[in-house]
Amino acid sequence: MKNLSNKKSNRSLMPWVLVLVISMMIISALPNLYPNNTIIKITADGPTISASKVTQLLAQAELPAQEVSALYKTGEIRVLLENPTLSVKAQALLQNKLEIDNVTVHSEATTPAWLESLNLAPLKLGLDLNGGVLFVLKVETDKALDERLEKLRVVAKDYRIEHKLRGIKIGPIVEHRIAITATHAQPSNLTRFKQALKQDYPNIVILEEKYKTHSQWLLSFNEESQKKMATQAVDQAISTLRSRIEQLGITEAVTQRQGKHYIRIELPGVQDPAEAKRLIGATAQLSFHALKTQGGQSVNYKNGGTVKLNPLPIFTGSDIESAQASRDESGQPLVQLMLSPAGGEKMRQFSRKNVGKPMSTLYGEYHTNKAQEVVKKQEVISVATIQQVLSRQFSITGLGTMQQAQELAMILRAGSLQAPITIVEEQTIGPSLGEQNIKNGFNALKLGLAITLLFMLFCYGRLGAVAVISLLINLVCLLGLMSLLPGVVLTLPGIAGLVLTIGMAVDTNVIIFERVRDEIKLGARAVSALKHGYDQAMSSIIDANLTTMITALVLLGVGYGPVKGFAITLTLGILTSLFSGVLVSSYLSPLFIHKNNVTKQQQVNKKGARHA
Amino acid sequence: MHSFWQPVRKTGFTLSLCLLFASIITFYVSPISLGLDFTGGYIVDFTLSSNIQRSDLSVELAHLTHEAFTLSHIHAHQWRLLFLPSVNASEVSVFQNAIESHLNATIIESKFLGAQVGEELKVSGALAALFAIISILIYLIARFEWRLAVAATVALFHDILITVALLSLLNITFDLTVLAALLAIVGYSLNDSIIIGDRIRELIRAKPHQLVSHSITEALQSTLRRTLITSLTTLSTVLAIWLLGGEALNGFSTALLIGLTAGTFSSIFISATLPEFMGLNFENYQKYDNDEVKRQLAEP
Repeated sequence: MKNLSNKKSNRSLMPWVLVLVISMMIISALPNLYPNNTIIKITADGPTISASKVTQLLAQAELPAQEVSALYKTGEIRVLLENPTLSVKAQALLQNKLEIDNVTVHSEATTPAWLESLNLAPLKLGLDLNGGVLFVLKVETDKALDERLEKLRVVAKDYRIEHKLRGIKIGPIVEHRIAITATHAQPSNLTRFKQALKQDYPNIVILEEKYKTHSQWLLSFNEESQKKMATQAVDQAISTLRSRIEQLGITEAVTQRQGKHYIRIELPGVQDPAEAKRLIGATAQLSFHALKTQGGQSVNYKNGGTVKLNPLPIFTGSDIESAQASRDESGQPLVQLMLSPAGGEKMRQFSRKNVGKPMSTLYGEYHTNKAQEVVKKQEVISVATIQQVLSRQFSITGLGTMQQAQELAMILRAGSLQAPITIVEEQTIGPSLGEQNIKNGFNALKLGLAITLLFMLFCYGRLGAVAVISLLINLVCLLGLMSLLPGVVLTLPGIAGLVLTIGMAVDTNVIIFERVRDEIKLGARAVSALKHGYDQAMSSIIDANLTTMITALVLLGVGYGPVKGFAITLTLGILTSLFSGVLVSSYLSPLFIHKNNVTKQQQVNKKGARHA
Repeated sequence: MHSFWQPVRKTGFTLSLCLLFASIITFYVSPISLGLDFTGGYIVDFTLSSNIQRSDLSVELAHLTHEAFTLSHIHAHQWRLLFLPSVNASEVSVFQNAIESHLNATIIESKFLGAQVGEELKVSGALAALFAIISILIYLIARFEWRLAVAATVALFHDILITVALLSLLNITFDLTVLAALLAIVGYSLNDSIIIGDRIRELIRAKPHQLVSHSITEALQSTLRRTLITSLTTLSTVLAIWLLGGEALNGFSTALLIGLTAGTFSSIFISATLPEFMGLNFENYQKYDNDEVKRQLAEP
């Protein structure tokens, strides 16, 4: 009994492994002691901006800066506001006043260098704690499908004209289908037409209906490719939105798919949803078209009248590699474009053939009309004569204000959306509420913890101390684990989950100690009672934790937002409470009984006298 | 001791069943009010020129409309008002004019938020719950015995139903944090059932000749201290959230307070008592060949 560790020499290594794991967790929990700073970074390409000017601008707008520092090497200016929650407001102000768009907001760690070199960072806080904006967007995949059908329709029309197929009418798109009617006069035309379409588009299905005077075809994409298009549209939207958010300079945004057609975006720290909303929800699309004198698509011209243009673009926004807003000699805003090599090639070929002819810039945008329907609005924003052979670099004009030019440049940089998106949910959580929530949550945590610890000490005395220590280890491990794993965000329900974890962890100790108590009552000696207690309690503990784990994992797989935050803390909490409540405390308990040898032994001897 | 426990358990069981039916009736009388997460509705954002307490503003606004609404403070002078989707659109615009003229408010934005997200969340939430319950049931049947598994599930529904019924009586909006609380209750309820079930199994195996009802009583007695200590510590932490957590966690902590109390009650009176009524006995825990089990079960 005196040499417990010698008796079980294979177990002698274990305590050191536990100490190692615990100290690792303590280290990874350490960065949480150093909160992040929100920094505004200004990088000027052109004329350098002085730090004093920035300070002055901020002071005028009643956004006093705590620290403004300029790095002369890179020409970068870093600003730390007295009230960092206003950083986004200050960013907009500086962007406006300095007329540059390279003002970004960063969250910067203040952790000591040695912790940072270990790649450790504090726990990320969710929207409800940090404040910010939540958007849930719906991707209008139906519109993307119609867009593809429209292209198919244009191809079909071109083919009809090219091959002079008479008697074939191509109708508009109705319920994601194109109706083609043909008279019976020239059946060979029809089969040729059908074959040509099938060859170019193997994924279409043609439903034939025969009437007396004519036959009708209903052209649509097959179900499989429709589904594929929908998934692609959502994936494309997510990646586009991510890069748009990067353009906004928000680094800690969470963008995730929610169900089939929805995207959830959390922008922590953003306090002005209007600007973010405009840029995130922007559906601006740019394409360049040749003009047509006959036929073609008739589109409104910005300066009045209509313009007839070839519906197939020369190139589109996806061929644009970079875009920058600036002004021309007369002060008009313009966007300078740089095309991708492939786009440049398209442009060169087209312009070589068409010097002296006009080319139009078509600007398209989706918006919601009064009847809550999403409609596309298209407008030709400029018609320019091609003066010379153009290549990768040129600029577009006719954009209205400088702000519009800047936004268009940003959208072109980040890429345009295949399918329009609509905002179906929008919530702003103020930073004051966030701070209050953190305070409330942690106060509740402290009080709950204090009551529980006192209660355990009161109920179990020395063994209670084991529970207290293992509970504290549990919390540190949980915090360390949550900071260590990427993608874990602490939310308000998460804190609640943390509080509940305390309850669960204590339960593990209670089950064990009750068994130990029973054993001692029956007259077992302290150490064997401890051993039996742990062994017997094991099956209950494993069953209880496994079922909770099943629930937590299901929630983790299916839940979004608050439910997910709760599930994460619960899952990790079960793991850490098993670790500390069972493993760690099984090593701690004998130590405490040793120290308390005399009293425990007396107690046991009294009760176990008959057995001796 | 057994003579004391037996009637107590039967009375408790009957009481639980009564509560269960009462909660089902409650759903018809006072249906639960779903939060915006689930329903969608009209949102009116407005600013006021003066500072005002939320409760005061709420009272003033109640004079201007008959419809139920939720008011939340966004920041500084900015407020947000939510109407359920059932509210007539014209009623909302009348209300907007009223706050503009009476309270000197400036409307920033007024829009209808669709319930599509709500619909999708409902479906996936229900699926998650169903999937979780089925997998737990399978685990319990494999690990224990079907009677104990069924009893644990009945206890689970008992806890959830009573919680939701009381929440609807207390007029607490059912939002995503309340959902999180319900899920925690599921965890606790099962936890309690399993601990007692585990002890019942152990005692029935150890004392094959003792009456099953006696073994159950013994199991209850030996786990009573654990049940009470754990319930007390968890309830006190939840109470701490209820007291200090602020409004954002009010629904959450209230749901947990009700659910945990119901869970403690049901772990004693349903998950331990119901198996006895369903004919749990020693043979259920012995390993027989399939045929023999069938014969045993067929015997009266």
